[in-house]
Amino acid sequence: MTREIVIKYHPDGNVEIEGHGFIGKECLSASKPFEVALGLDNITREMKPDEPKRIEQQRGRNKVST
Amino acid sequence: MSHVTRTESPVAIKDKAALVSAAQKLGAEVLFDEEARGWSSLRHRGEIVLRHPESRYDVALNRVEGVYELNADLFGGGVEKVYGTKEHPYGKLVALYGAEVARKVALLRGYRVEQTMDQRGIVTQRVVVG
Repeated sequence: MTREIVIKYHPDGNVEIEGHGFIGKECLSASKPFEVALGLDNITREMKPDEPKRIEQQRGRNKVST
Repeated sequence: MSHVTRTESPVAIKDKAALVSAAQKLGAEVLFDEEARGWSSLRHRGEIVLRHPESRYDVALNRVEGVYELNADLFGGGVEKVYGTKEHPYGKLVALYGAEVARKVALLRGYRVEQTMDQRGIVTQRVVVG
């Protein structure tokens, strides 16, 4: 299965990162360099059984779902 | 009344080259160590100044602890029209900057990147890891 990271930049400045096709916490390490480079802070993570990873970011109110 | 407003970017702007590239994609002229134009004869200095023919006011960027701050006279909506969206005065600039930074990260790792922008202004990158 193809592994991919989808990054969405919303008009209000929110950044959302989703991982597809990753197994377990593999997606966390795959998306980490993007989080760091984009300077995402105060991230909250959520695990999803069927969706490998999802991150929503807004300065001061960051959210990550996996 | 008019004044210069400092706006916090939702993405930490640290990469000068990516910022320049994003601004140029929006049609801005990028000046270095220059005076930014504000209302009337007001000027404010910027390590980087973004000037655009469709905005009579410029954007000045200066680094604070390694992160660029955005300063401009937002009166009249010219700056927002060029660089921003309804939701954020620099929404387009920040999105293109973020996409540029993420593209560099992806390419350094040998990943393939596809990028699109929809009618709502959402920039989407698909990074194919393998």
